[in-house]
Amino acid sequence: MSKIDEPVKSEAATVAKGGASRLGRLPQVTQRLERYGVLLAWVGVALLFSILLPKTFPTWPTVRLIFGTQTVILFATIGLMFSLAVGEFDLSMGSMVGFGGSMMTVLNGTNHWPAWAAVLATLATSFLFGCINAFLAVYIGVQSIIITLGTGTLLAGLSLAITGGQVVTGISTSLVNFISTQFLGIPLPFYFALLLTVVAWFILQQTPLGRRMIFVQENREVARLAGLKVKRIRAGGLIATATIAGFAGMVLAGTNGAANPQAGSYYLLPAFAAAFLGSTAIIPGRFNAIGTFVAVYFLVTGITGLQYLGYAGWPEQVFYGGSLVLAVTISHLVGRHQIKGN
Amino acid sequence: MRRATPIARPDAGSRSRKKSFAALSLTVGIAVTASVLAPVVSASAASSTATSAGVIRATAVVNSYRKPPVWKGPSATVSLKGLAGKRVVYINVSSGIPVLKYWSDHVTALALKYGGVKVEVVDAKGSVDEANKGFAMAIATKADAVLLQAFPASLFQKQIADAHAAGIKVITGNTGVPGDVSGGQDAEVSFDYAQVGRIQADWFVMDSKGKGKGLVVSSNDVPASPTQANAIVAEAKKNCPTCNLITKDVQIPQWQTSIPTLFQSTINTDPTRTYLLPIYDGQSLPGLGAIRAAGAGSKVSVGTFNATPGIVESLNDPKSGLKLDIGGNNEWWAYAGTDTIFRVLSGTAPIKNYNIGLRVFDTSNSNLIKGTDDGPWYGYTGFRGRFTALWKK
Repeated sequence: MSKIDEPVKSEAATVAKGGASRLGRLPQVTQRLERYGVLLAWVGVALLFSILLPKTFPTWPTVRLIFGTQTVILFATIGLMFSLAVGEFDLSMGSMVGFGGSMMTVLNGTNHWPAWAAVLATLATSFLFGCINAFLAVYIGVQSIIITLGTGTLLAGLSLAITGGQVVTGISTSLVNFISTQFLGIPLPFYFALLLTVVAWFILQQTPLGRRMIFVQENREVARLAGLKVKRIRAGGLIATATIAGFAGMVLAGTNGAANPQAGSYYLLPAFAAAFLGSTAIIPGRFNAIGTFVAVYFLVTGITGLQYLGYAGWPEQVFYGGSLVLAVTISHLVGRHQIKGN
Repeated sequence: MRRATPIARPDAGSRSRKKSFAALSLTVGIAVTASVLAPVVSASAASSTATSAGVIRATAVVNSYRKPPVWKGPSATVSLKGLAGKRVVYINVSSGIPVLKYWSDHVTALALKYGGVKVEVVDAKGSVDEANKGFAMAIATKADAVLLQAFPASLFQKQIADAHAAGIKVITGNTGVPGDVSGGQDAEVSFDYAQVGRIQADWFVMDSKGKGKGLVVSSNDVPASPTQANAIVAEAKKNCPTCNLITKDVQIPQWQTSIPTLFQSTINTDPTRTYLLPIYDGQSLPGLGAIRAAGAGSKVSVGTFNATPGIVESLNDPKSGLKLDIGGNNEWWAYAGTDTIFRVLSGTAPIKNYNIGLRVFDTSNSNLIKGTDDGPWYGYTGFRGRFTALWKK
């Protein structure tokens, strides 16, 4: 096993940026502030709204709301993280969410395929589109941000084509009921998303593959010279993003009991915002699963609290955008301070 | 026989005075209380009476809109002589939105079939720049009219002025208030969104028996939305002074992510606020999913508008919470839009309000929702003959 293949453990996760040595010299408080800043902000926001709304906010229905209604964003963001973690941008992710939901609904609801067959066919198609993205971006060499902009537009058009531009319905009751099934008052998809988060954490932080992905993101050329199969790793990231996005679309359609072909595009920016915010937490400077989970639910908690206070609409966008700008800026400043410290 | 001893008299007198004082106090107390409470009780009774009358009025309105719509359109004819060969540039806010494509397709076909007028559709894809390009194209190619669909006229003041300067008439579609040409356009052809809002409010008052608390969710990025949202609040206030409505604005890009949490946070913060009134059913779709997932279908009532195929079917799913979906007849609008084009091109005064057919779909008549062609749901196609009778060759 090469040094790159050694499992990543806690602070050692920052080795690729030369962080371990400098971490040792920096004051503990600064390190922890950087690492757990978003987590603390999440706790702080929850506490603030609990103080402001003592009777309604710190309740079990609120917990159910926060964890039960934004599962699609968590799926989409974790999926997006796989391509970001290898230095690729997948702008087709939102369209893939819309396409996944539309295709599954058309197959199952309109064409009366069995639910399992519709799900498998949709997953396979999502995988295929991931392969197309990967082939064009990695093996042909066109920048992924450009290719996925094109495939995203193509997928948006295909979604309209297969649905006839209409909201489609008819998803089998068993599938809708399954997706609506609750455990501890929270629908099952949340637990699937949680499981995906754990799997992503394991892959990125505990396996040689995760170390290689980090190395590819840090310096593609050096990684290639070190003998890593860079192209394969980049392709894998893009394929994982597309496949998970297709799955997220199916969860969305199953939750709504119908598919809106245009729904997916609205997940693109929130997922990017959460992924970048997540990269400032737990393992700062790196896309990581736990940080992403914390970021998604920090944003959801803040927005829910604002809604409880009676603010809907623009205050949510201000909170979303403001949190991202603030977190990334603070993270950048702390990182610069660390470099100066070195 | 001895009478009662005089010694007893002072005691009796004292008791008597005390009784008198107590009686006086009680009387004064009652009088004061009555005088203080009278206006309150009277106001409360008056309010209750007003609400009862309002519930009756609201019920009558909802019942009338449960039936198939009837013709309340114009009777003034329009001459189609000399219209053949004229051109209209139809700027669509987005042809990717099914109903907008439906309208543009039908207007194109009707205008050509009955008037020989050629309609050229420009898909603005939601972009003001693309719409500006549509105006520039109309001016450059010397079109006879522009129909600007679902964009607010106020955004295009310069373009409208430029078009007028080039001798091009400007029609707007579905910006909120039928016949409202305050944006400088020559005609506005629209569903009566204020009436839609009033029906939503009346259903809310009727269904809650005048005791409802609700949330109106507008989407102010859609030009017609504020008109409809304001009408809901005003009508509810008129027919149910004791009802309580609050309004939130959630715009199109946030529908998917914000509506589910907004629905649930509304219920969590105030479990008695059980009526959710989003302006559009497309807006409510993510919320219906959240209601279903939370198992709250029996606790809330969602009342909305558009009767979009694929969404309105949720009326048959009690878990979704959808209880009302008002529909507007889209083919009827296409005929009205074509009629407006003919009138504007021929120099005939435009019609202010076509009273395009609306129908209430709720759990009482959800059996009408069959198939994806929504035309038959309305139970009336007589508008076709009515319009063609107005068009004189």
